Amino acid sequence: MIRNGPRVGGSASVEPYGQGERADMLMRQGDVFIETIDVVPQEVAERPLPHGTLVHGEVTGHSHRLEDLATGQLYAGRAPGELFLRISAPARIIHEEHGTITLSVGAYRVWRQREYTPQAIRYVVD
Amino acid sequence: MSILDRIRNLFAPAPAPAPRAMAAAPATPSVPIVRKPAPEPPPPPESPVARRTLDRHGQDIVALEGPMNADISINLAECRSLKRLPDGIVTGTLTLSDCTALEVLPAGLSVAFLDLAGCTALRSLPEDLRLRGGRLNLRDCAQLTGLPDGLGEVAQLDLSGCLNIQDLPAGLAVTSWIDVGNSGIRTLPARFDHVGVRWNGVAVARRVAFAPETLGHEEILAERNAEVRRVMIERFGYERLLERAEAEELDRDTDAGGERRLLRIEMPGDEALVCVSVRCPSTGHHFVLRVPPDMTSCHQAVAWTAGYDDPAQYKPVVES
Repeated sequence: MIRNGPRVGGSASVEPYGQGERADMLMRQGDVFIETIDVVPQEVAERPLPHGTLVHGEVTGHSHRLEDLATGQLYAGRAPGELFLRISAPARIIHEEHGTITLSVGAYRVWRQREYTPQAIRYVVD
Repeated sequence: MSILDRIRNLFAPAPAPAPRAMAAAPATPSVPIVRKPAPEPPPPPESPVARRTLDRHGQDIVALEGPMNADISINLAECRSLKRLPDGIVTGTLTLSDCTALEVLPAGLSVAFLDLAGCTALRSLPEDLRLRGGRLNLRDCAQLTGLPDGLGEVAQLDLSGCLNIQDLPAGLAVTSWIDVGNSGIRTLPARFDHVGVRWNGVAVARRVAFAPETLGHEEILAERNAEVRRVMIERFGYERLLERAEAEELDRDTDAGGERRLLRIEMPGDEALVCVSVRCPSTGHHFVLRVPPDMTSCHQAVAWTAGYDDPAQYKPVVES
């Protein structure tokens, strides 16, 4: 049972984050959500990604992405559509159509908007 | 002559007399520039060896005089005063997007990628324009009424917003896709059957672009891709969709993007379809997202799409 924090995906249970010293802060860029957390979990830190793309649009070719790879490191999450981000210098998340989101140094969790289907819950595909 | 001398010669200024505004400038830059209103000293000459690319984007340039030599790319985006370019430009990528004063292109232009998006004053393309297999972006060139016949071949052709282009010339070959969003194109000849169709950046079936009235509301609501569904709704008509589907409004409020509505559509022989209609605060695009059938408010529904089962927990501080 999730009492705090969002659920990612249909059945994946994700532990709540962001209950430490920093205040919880939720940001949204289109169908992508970014939340401040205390630290990138250890198990996730072992799965660094070689790119800075948070989400890539299937039919538009647009993407939500880290403008400068030198400002942060992306990690694969524990559920489909979940990512973690460690920002080491003030960073910008950019997209062709959406306003830029600026991130300060720290750890973040990233996930996608979901949508209901009678059979299953799926991520919003764009 | 050494190789270096030859390269220097390549970038030497044109032998033609300098334009009037250049008379006071003693230096001889590779690309003489006429500025407005008063002549200013030209920028220091660049190293000719480094001139694989030329980037003057956003500058207050009225005219560039030839020859322009940059074999990879020339970027003059957002040169909003630019009216004249030299003849005979041959380069890989020429970016002239948002050059809003540009009415004509020079003669003898040969490029692979030509970006003219937002050149709202452009009246026509020169008959001798040659494209070498890349991309021609004419987005929002609303004054253009047609394309020259001898353009050649492009992989990608963006005609979105070209309200006054209704036909494509017989001599034009396109290999990948054509964007016809809000253009004057109402159909494509059979020779483009293998080419993908886009509507303002979204790859769609031809029927969505050219015969949206044939889409049914069940088909639209069943489309898996949210961007494609958005375009289908835009083409079919949002109000018409709700009317055809006999949607019942359960709740209505506003958020950062504008009005939100929670709607319920009875589906014969199936679970009722409850969806939240939202607008993106950045693009104004209208999205209809399906949510669980027990949702009772717009906020609860949107919080659910963000992953929150408890709507009180959903408090975004930034939305773009």
